[in-house]
Amino acid sequence: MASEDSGRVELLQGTLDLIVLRALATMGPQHAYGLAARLEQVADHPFGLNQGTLYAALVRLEQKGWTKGVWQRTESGREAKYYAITRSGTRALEKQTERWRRLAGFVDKLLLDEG
Amino acid sequence: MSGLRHFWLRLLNVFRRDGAERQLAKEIDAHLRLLQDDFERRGMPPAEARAAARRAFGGGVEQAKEHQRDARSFAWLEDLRRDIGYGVRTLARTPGFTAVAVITLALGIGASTVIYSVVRNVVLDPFPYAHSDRMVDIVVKDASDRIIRGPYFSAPEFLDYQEQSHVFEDVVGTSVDVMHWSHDGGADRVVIAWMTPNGFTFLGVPPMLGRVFGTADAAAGAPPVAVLNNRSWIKFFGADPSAVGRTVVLDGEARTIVGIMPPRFEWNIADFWLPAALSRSDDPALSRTSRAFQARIKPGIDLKQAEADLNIIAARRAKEHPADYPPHSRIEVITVIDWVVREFRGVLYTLFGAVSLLLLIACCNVANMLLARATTREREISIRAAIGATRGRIVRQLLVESALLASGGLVVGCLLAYGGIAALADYMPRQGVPWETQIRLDRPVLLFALVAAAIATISFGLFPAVQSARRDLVAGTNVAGRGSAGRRQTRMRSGLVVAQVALSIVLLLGAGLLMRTFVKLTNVDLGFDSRNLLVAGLWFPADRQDPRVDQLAFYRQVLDRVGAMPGVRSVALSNGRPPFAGMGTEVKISGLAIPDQSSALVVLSSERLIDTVGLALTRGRQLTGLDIEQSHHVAQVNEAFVRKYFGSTDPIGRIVQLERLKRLPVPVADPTFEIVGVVRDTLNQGPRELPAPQVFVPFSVGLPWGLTLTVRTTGDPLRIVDTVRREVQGLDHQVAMVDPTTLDDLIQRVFFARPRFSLLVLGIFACTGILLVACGVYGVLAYTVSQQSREIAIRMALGGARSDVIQMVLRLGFRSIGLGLAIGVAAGLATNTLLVSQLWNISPHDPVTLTAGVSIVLIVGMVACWVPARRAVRVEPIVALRHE
Repeated sequence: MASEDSGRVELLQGTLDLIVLRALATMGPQHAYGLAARLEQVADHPFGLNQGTLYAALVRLEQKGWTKGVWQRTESGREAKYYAITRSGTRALEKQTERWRRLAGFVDKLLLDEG
Repeated sequence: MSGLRHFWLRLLNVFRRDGAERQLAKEIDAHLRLLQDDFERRGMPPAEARAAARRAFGGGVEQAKEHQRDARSFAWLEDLRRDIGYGVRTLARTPGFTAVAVITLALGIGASTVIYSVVRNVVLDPFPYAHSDRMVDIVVKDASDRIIRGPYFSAPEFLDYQEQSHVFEDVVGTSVDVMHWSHDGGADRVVIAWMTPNGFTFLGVPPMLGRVFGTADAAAGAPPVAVLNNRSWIKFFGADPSAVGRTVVLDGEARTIVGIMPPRFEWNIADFWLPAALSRSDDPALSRTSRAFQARIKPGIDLKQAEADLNIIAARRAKEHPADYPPHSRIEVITVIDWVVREFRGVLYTLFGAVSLLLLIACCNVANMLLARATTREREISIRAAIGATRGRIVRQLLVESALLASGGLVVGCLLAYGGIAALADYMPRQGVPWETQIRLDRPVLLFALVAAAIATISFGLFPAVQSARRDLVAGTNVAGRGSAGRRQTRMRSGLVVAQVALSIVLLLGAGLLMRTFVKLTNVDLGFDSRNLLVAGLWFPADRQDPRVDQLAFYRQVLDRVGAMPGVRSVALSNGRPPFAGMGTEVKISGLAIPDQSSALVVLSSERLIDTVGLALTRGRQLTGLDIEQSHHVAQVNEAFVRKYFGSTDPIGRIVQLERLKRLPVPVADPTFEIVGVVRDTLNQGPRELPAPQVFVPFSVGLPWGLTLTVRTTGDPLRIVDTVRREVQGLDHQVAMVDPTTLDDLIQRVFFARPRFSLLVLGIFACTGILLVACGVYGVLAYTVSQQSREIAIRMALGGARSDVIQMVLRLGFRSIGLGLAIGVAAGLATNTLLVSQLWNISPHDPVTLTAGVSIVLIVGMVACWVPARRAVRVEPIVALRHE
């Protein structure tokens, strides 16, 4: 079951994790809905984010110890799970950002050369 | 670090599913509500807002959950967990089926684990010594592959091989001897082993108490030391730790015990190990200068390479000492394990083969049961397939159930094996089994059990599982659809019965042959009455130079005093244990031309030996007390001797010359004797051999250092041992009484222990096998009958006779049994030839065994068929039809 669509998820995985970490780092603790809303806001064009896949990223990050989830009340009085970035999450974000930059730069250069 | 943590959390989540699921549901619920709030704020009515929220969530809530689940844990593992849970529930619903399957598998797995533990601990890894797999003996073989010398070699030869070879890591030289140990409580004969000082380093076993000896202890002028065997420590010192440091006087020399070895250290089965270096200048007359050459081969060098290296040295030595190396002789390197275990290995491998058959029968049985059950589960499986389970998924589910059964079988089997090993250890023969052996359920054996269970799972589970999954959907869901699929199944199950019957007849035939051998052996008339006979050695210290007269007087007193004890019928002395006693000697008979190599066993005996052992005098007279006292040169011979050398002529009064007596410690100057009597034959070589020619002469003509006392008692011979010992030591406290035992015990141990062991084990396997077969045949027929109850009911309702129905069922059963018998007998006749070395006086194709084996299977098969057949005719037509 998992194997069939794992290709798609895996492809997105690193990126999505990075995006979520970054969002949490800049915005402070957020629940899944807040994150989804934020991501949609930031994206220039329709992100096409399946909100369900967000949950996969959230559980992954929490298991790696990069985020920590706590149940809290929202302003509207609803109970929601707020995710906050941890210290090791911050370190990981730095490393991942650096890696992403290098990769993106490399891909950019490659595309420019070929173009 | 975080990678590992991630992995563990995922693994943990497989088992913490419920909490995580609840959390997730709650979280998604909150998400949806927040979305809904948003939409409501924009002015949507609540119901619409909820729908919009769900739409906006995208991809469906369940999919989100599935994504999260995949990320959270291992999907396949979670599936497995679900399968196991489901399997446990399914099996628990049919406790009878589960119990029978588990017990069947436990029998198979348990039995094979027991035998594997024996094979492993006797043949594969019996020794507690370091790198024992590389330990070898060397021997010299002649052109006809016979061992002519070795592993004992004289010091110069030993050292040549040690110093000039390049293939050994280390070499140890051991020489076994018997010594007289005089102590305050009397005296004992102990086995000692002279060992080169590197011995304990070579063997790599640290002492349990104290220290072992080293080079310094073997140096000239070093204080004499000894290292004590654990078994002897318990026997002689009652396991008293203060034995270390005590002094023992062995053959007149005081030695300090410096250490005690742990249990299982039985190098050369000695009581004491003594240090002695080896030197070319040693006196060749000393027994310790001749040593067994035992070495550890360097890693990476095989036996052939080692032999090639040693044969170069042998060629050199052969030039200098042609007498030691006949033409075409060569060195052979034999591993110590091979040297000790030799033919017992064959017995164990046979048993291992047999137990594999048993395991196979057990697997067939369980496969059969699973097939039967698969039919009743047809609908369940069809429904699963219909709602989208792949064939692989169904097979996996069924295999998990099989694995659960096998795990149950494994656990119960290991318990059975634990008990079985303890029980079997008592029946293990001593001969051919290293004394170091300890049969136990250790880790490799448990691993073996695990592998056996895994193989069993595949072999009994895969086939029915694949069969079930292949069933087409329509046939299953359709209630009446018991057409072709059912028939195919029945055929398959009959095939399994055929296999079971065939395997079990193979086992039965083997066990039958061993039983016939054993019965024949035990029924052999040894030619004397072995009951109520006590035998014990009496030994003088080797360093005592008693005049012959004194020794004679001692022996005379022993005979008189023991003879007068209550409960003693008769008493006698001989060299060696009668009737198996005697030294080999060349024989010459005056006035008779017999071949040069003629030989006989000469027994130095007291008067009444023939009576005491229970032999009959057929001609002439007995040896008398006067013959002994005056050392008359008279002899009794047995019938075999007469047959061989005199034929039909009368031997009485003829003169025989027994050359061996010239080479006694105190030689007999004139070894000629007049034959005065003829004694009936006994099987003096054991029950498997023909009697050897034997001559009895007065022991007083050439007193050896020790004699065996034989006492015939009225009751249990072991009860008088202590009294006899007191009498003997009262007469001379330096005389040791050695190994008192009953002759019956000795005979059992030496001649019957091994066949009994094989018979016992194979017999148990055969019985278990036939029991399983009965279950298998019964199961198939009972199932068939229940499936055909409608057909039978209609037949009966239409006036069919009961006998017809019974015949129909029996015919069905016997078709499989007959085919199985035919295959099994053919296979059995082939495999029985593997048993030849364990058989005696019986052909591997023995018709009696064959008939008996076939009859047993037929009778068991008949019973197994009869019960379902009876049940079939008891079917009430109305009930059966209404049931449909």
